[in-house]
Amino acid sequence: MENKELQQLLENQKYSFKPYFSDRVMAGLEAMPGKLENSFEKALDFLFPKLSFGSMAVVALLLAGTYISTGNLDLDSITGVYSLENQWYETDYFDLF
Amino acid sequence: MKDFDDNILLAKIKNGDSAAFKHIVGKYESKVATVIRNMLGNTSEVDDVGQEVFIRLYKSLDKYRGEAALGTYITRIAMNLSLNEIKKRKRKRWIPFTRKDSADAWDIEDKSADLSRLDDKDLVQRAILRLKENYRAIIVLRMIEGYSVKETAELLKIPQGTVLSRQSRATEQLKQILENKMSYRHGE
Repeated sequence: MENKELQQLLENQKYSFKPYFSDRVMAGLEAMPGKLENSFEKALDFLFPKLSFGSMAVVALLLAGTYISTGNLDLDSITGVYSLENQWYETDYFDLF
Repeated sequence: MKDFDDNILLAKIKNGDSAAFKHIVGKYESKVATVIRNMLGNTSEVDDVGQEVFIRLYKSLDKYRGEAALGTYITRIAMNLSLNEIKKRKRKRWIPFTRKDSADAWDIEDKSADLSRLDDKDLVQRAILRLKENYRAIIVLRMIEGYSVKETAELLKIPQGTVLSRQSRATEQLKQILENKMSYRHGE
């Protein structure tokens, strides 16, 4: 037998799996822990950097707004209690009694 | 998704796109089937080992750095799992009362089979299965899958000189086995 003849015979030795092989693989992956689908953890990994930068920017803007309107950044100003205190003093609730 | 190259598909998989992984499976399943089927023969384990190849691939995607082509990386997994399966079979032979199947079944069939009814493809497959697994691996990678000597050496983690010497011996043995089988078939 010549090498060329052998090579031709070997080139025909291609095979394929039974039909729906890829579906069986995907089912196998679904069944294993830490599966492939768009899991909550994967989505979180993807979204976390985007969300965290956006959130930091919003927090910075809110703090800047608070500082501009109240002139300081103490806890009362941040939580909004500062303006309620002013309202309390301005209203004479004792008249009710 | 047919026109996407592997790097795009891999990026999609890393973002949790299961359709991209299914596409990779579809793209490389015939390559994997060819490797496993030629290494193990027509046995029930072929499909299971094939599935295991892609599950291993999925698990190891984080480690894949793209140094080798994805097809080569998958072929390496397929070859390693096939060689592991052959080792497992050898161990089973030493355990009494276990099911003797796979390559053993081929051996028994070969002695009694009506070779005249087999087509060339089956005949060649039986001849390949008569080779030792390290020769079989060379025939599959070099002569069926068409990998270069360098690629084959990297896939099997052996020197290039060893690939060439094994290929020479494997080819001679395969020719001899095939000539015997074919003359037996034509003689009937």
